[in-house]
Amino acid sequence: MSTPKSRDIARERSEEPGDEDAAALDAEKVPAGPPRTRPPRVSWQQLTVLPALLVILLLLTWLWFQQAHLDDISRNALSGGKVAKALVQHIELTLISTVFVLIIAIPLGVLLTRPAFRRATPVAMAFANMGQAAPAIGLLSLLVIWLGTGRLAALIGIIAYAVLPVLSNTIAGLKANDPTLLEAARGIGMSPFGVLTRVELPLAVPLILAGVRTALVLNVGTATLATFGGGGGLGVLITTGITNQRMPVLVLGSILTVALALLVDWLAALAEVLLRPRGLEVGP
Amino acid sequence: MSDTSLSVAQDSPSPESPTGATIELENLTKRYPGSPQPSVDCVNMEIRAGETVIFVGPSGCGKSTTLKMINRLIEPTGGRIRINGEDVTDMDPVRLRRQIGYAIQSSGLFPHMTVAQNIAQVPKMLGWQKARIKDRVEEMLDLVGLDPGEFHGRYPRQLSGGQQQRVGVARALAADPPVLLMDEPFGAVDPITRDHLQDELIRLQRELHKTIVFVTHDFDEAIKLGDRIAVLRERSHIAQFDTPEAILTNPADDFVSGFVGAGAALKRLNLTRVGEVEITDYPTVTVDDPLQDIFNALRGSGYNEILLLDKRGRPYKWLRRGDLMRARGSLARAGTLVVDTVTRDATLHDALEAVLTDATGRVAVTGRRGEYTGVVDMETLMNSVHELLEADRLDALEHQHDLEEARAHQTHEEQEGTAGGSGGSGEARA
Repeated sequence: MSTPKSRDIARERSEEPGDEDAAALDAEKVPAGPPRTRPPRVSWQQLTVLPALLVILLLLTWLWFQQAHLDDISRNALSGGKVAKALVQHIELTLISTVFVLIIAIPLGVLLTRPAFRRATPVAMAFANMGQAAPAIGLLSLLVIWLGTGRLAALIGIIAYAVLPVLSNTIAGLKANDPTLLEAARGIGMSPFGVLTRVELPLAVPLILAGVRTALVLNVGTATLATFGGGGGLGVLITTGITNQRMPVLVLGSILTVALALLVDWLAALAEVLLRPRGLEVGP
Repeated sequence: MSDTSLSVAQDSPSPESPTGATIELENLTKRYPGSPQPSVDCVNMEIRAGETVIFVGPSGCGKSTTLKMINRLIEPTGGRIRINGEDVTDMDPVRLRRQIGYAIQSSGLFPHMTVAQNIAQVPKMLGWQKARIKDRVEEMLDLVGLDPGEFHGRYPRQLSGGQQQRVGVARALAADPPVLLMDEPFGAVDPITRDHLQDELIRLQRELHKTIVFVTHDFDEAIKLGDRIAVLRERSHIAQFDTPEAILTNPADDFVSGFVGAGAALKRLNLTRVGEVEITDYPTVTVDDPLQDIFNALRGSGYNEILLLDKRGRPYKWLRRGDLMRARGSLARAGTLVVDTVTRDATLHDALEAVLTDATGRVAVTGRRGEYTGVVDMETLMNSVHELLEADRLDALEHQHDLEEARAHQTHEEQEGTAGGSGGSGEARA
């Protein structure tokens, strides 16, 4: 995927038509400096509110644990870096599955919008829909029967579940491009690959990123089920808490999952704003 | 240019800046699967190097399709395209298009790229050095009348429609292609801006001498811009392919005259400049002359009016007999101010407008710095227009005669050829 230039906030500068001085400055020439007249792409509220809430949530949880009575079973479930391990596993599951979702869904979306493969779109969409319609837990169980317990089965289940939003958004984003613009791109001598990487994909970035954000949040949720396939993650804490009827373990697992999901969503939202190609913003 | 360039660029007189190439279309045909009639049917056309040719016709007549077949955005199903004699019908379309400028309606600029990045696209694809691209971008912005410092970092969305269109033209010209294809480029801008853009294009073309193929449905635009106009009817059949003058004065058939519309004689006025017609001299005095001289001039000139010039020789006031009397000898109060003047570059249409609105029925012609050079009045205009129309008519007749002769000659030759051929085979048999 192409990466449009000058994306960082530090280079944010005025884009108002009337502000000639600022607009005249080349992005390359402008060193990292404060924005001039227009507010930066990300406001301080966007940057601070959610992290602050998460910090408060985790702090409260920690305080609660300070006074909570933990018996041996709970202690056993939480000690020895088991929480940290579960958290790391969970993040790994989420990231690895998301990377694979991107590797599968974006090229597939590109392929399905090429004239040669356009007719395969309904078939591919039907498969993607099945992946999402099938209950994740059922899918996971079947995969475990087929592949045995372990991380692989868990990953495949998570991936199958999250392909659809990215795929459908990639297709929608590419289809939304103005055909006359693409013809202009071909008309000035861009190769089909050049049209795709320099015009089509950059313009589809906002929609694709929205799909990626959905997939990320889905994956954080689905990764809690990985424990049923022996894939680890925060689901281990939750299931331990439920089966042993130990409230603190269950609560910790749940809160960490919720916090992780919110954090991931926040990061993805920031990425959506920052990676959106310049010039597409609805300027003043 | 890099070694990817067509021989088009190298064949032209100066390889540094190719100044147009010939385009030949031979039996060019486009047939879409599933439709009984071809959308473009056997177009034959020769376009000279450095010429502006306008395709004009009703919507859906295939003029755009014909244009897009020249850079093979639409692949022809039959016929050949030759640019500067080289057959490009089978060459790599991507390479071909990098040698042909392309500008479209509502500019087709990439919204996620700055003005500079948009213009740099083709040079970048041709592998130019960074520094050269940067210089070229500034040069192109300058050429289309946009301040490089102000505009090059802007995004298309921050430009007005007219400015976007200029950038579109700059992008099309960035790699200095010999041929420029324009598909209704000024269709989406308001009439005043369109007028400006047309003037700019005329100025550009005077400097650059590209071969321009321009599609429009606006016949007035065609007259204004075209060296030659191809009036196309359905399936891109050429109804008439000739100079604007010839089409206006001698439309080939009812279809063309219908397209020319009413007022062909009036439109003809747009094609002639004031400088080309007879400008009459007129008695003048200047504000510095003594009053007595002015009186004498008024009385002795044999005209009812004389023109009073200001200190720098610019037309200032029309003075009538008796005006000075009524104003009690004060030049400041006498006479009527000159409201409108025309330059030698103005069209006869402008001149007629000025003459009609001026109470005196004449308009002063001024030179470069606004100084008086002569006067055009109703009578001169009428005579010139009659002469022009007559000359056009004679030209058209002669042209038609030539055509018929050429056609007769051709038929004759063909018959000779077949006769010779059969004779030859007969002899061989004998």
